[in-house]
Amino acid sequence: MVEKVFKKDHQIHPEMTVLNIVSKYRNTEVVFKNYDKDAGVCICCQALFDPLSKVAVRYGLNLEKFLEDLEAAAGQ
Amino acid sequence: MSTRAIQYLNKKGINFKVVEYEHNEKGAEFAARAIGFPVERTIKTLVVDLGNKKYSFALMPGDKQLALKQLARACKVKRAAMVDTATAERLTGYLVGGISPFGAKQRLTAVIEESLMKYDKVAINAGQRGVMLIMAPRDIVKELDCDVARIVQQQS
Repeated sequence: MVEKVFKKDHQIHPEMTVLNIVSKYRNTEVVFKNYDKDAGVCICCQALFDPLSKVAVRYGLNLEKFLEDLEAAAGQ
Repeated sequence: MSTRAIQYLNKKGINFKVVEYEHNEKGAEFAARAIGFPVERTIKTLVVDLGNKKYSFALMPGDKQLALKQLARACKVKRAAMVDTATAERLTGYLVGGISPFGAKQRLTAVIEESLMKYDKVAINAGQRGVMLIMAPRDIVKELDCDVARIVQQQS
C-alpha cells in the first residue's frame, strides 16, 4: 500500500513524520488542519512524531489523497 | 535512572520526581496515558528555529498545537519555524521523543505556554524516552530563565 501511493518524483513520502513535513514545507500545516476534522483529533498536536502512513492508518485517512494534498501545498 | 537532565537538576538542587514508563510510542499523549497524568499538564518540548541560527525551546501542553506567529512575537523575531528531527537531535543531544530542555547539548532560550503556570506540578521529559519528571512549572521557568507567553493555537 505504502509503495503504491508513493510517487518517486514527490517531495513528501509516507514514511516522513508530520514534524519533518511541517518543518520543511510550512504551507502543509493548513492541510493537516483540514484533515483534523476527518481524523477527529488535532494531527499536529497528537501525531507530530508519527510517519504519515501510521497517521493515515490510525485515523482512517485516505493516504493517497492525503499525500496529494500535502504535495500540492508543499509545491506552492 | 540518571540522564543529563536529571544530573543537571540534581546539581541545581531542584525538586522533582522521576517516573518511568514503557515507551511504545513517541509523544506527550502516550506519555501522559502511560504515567497516569493529565495530558494538558504533560509538557511536550519542541525546538523552534528563530532565524539567524537562533533556536528556542517551546514548552507546550501535550494536547495543544504551537502557534508559530505568537512564538515569534514572544521571541521578538519576524518568524519562527519548527525544526526537523535531525536538527532537534543535533542541537539538544537527545532523541526526539526524549527531548528535555534541561541538560541539552546547546543552551537554548525557552518559552513556556502561560496556561501551564496555573498547575502546581507538570510532567516534562527527563531526556530519555520512557522517563518523565514531575516538577513545579515555576522551577522550570527559574532554571531555564523562560519567557512565559501565550503560544498555543486556538482550537476550533
